Amino acid sequence: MRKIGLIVNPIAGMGGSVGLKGTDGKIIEKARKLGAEPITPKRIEAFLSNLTTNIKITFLVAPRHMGEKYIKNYNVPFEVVGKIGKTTSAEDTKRIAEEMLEKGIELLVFCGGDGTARDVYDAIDLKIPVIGIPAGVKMFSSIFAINPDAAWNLLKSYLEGSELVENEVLDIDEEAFREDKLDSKLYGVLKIPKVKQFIQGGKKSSGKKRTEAQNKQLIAEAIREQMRENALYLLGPGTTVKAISEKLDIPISLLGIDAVYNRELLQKDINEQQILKLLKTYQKAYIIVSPIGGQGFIFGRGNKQFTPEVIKIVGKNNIIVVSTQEKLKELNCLRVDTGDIEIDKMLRGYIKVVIGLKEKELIEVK
Amino acid sequence: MKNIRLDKNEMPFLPPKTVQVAIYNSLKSINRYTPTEKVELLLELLSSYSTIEKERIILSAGSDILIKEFIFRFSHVDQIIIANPTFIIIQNSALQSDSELLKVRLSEPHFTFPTKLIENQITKPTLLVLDNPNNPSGKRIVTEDQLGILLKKEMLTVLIDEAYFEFSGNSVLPLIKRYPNIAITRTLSKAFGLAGIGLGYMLAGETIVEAFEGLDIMLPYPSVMGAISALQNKDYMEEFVEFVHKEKQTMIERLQELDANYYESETNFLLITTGIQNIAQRLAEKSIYVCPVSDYFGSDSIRVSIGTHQENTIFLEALQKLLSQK
Repeated sequence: MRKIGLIVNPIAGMGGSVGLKGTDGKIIEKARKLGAEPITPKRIEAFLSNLTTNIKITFLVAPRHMGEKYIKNYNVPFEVVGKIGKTTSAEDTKRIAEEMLEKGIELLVFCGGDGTARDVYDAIDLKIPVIGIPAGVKMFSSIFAINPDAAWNLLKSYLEGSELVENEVLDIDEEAFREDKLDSKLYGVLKIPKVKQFIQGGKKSSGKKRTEAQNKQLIAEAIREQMRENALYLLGPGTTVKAISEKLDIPISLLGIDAVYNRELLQKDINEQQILKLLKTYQKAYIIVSPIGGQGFIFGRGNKQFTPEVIKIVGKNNIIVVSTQEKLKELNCLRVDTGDIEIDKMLRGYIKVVIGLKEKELIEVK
Repeated sequence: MKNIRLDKNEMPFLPPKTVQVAIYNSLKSINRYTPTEKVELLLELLSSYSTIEKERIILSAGSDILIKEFIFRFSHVDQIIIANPTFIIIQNSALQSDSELLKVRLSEPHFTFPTKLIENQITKPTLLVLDNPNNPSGKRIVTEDQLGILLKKEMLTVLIDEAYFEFSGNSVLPLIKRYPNIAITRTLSKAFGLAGIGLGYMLAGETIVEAFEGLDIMLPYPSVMGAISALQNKDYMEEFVEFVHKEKQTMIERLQELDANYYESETNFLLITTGIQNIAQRLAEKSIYVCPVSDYFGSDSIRVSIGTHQENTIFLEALQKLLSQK
């Protein structure tokens, strides 16, 4: 029997209806007082209502309203993992996810928002794939399925052997968000299943189908080849950009910005001030960024170190966007939200994205 | 249950008896190569149908071959530009080439090809290959005027696939008479309903005619005879095109009622976004086959051919059912 984990964040999403933008920290009491209703029960029910008895899995679930309560209503084998107190917190999610991992789950389904995704990332990292049922107020991470039914389809695909893709866990500072400031950062990367293509059209796409990992290698090769001597390269966060560092055989900071010069690491994990200083020293500079999966932001989410001032100095023509085709095809367009209207305006229009060794895609930035 | 095939943009009926008989009769001399005079006759008929001299027509066993051959013959260029999405044969052939490939994303809802922007990209020998109307969006993505401006660049060679020309009624044909560096591919597989005979042709500018010299493909006799008969009896094609437009309108009205998202189309198919994950698979379970387009759009989007009235009704009923379960 295959083991699948299930964790429900019972308070995720409660802040939304009462305008609180998230329920991280102590704000939950305020949400309750304002009459907030939990939204996870509906979401998790919608997900589980797809369950049929012929599905050969055992669910490892968190206790009570963190999972057990919902799975009980269905005639499927399950096992309760861990203990929880009267009120639950982020620590419960992390601890129980770790316990489930020890008990040998091969995939974890969780229901919550960005905060929950962050907790799951802390426990799971890239060890096993996850499926996120969206129920939070903040849903900036691209790891969530679009709705509970879609999450179910992902589980089905996974059980039938679908490929996995890596997507970003983003989180924003809730305190700032409540004050209408949006500051998101890339928190980590999780593995999620890809919806399996069940049937093909009459004429099949290219026989030489590459995996996303292979495509990243080709992109890295393309960038390495085009890298100029005596020019500064600022490598943004994310696994596609970091594949370039790996190709150059230099250490990486997955979530930070690294400076590379003549194919060697100049400075690791730098902030805006450090970048500005470098830009004064080095005349020719390029920024390499990759869009956030599912949303398409190339600036303004997950890479705030690239401030409007930095972008302005480097210039639009020296921005290199890289993305795997898998990620790009999910996007209608790319987006920018630097916080500076003039810079956003400058970045709009079409931009070339490096998608393979000799392949580029021209796509609109909005 | 009978299979409903709405996945390949075919004509859902048989062509008229006369055409069938012409194909059938060709079998009586199937031991012989196709007579040259029949090929000449086909060229003359195509010449008058396409209003272009026959010296500019290149025949082939299906337009797919012409597209592949075209990209192959011009693959010494520095870059190939194609649309995304585009007809899969165009993309696959372009990927085979060693040239740099630039895909240009067509933005919803109009899917217009940004010609103005492309103009700046043509700084080196370039091949531009587009399908117009575009598959799977069904939209006309480029106009004669827009393309005319690009063609002034001598470094550019252009191929436009007009497989759905008869449904659209729009063509960039006049450009062939003005510029040497453009060709158009067309087919008898769509509006003429002869997918099974695999006959395509190219209408080419001077430079391209020269480049294709020596490409003498032996065309199957049944294909040539079927094509001749179809062109001599093209009323049925015109009736079919009219039927498609009417039936498409009926489908659109129904889709509006169902609140499904569709795109206006100049072809015999519709791109539909349903909001139902894996919709193609869900319909296939009911023996209704439509084309999944999840290489470009989500798995909730499909390309659906206009079939017979009955087939379309069955599809719409199945879609309605799935939507109500959502």
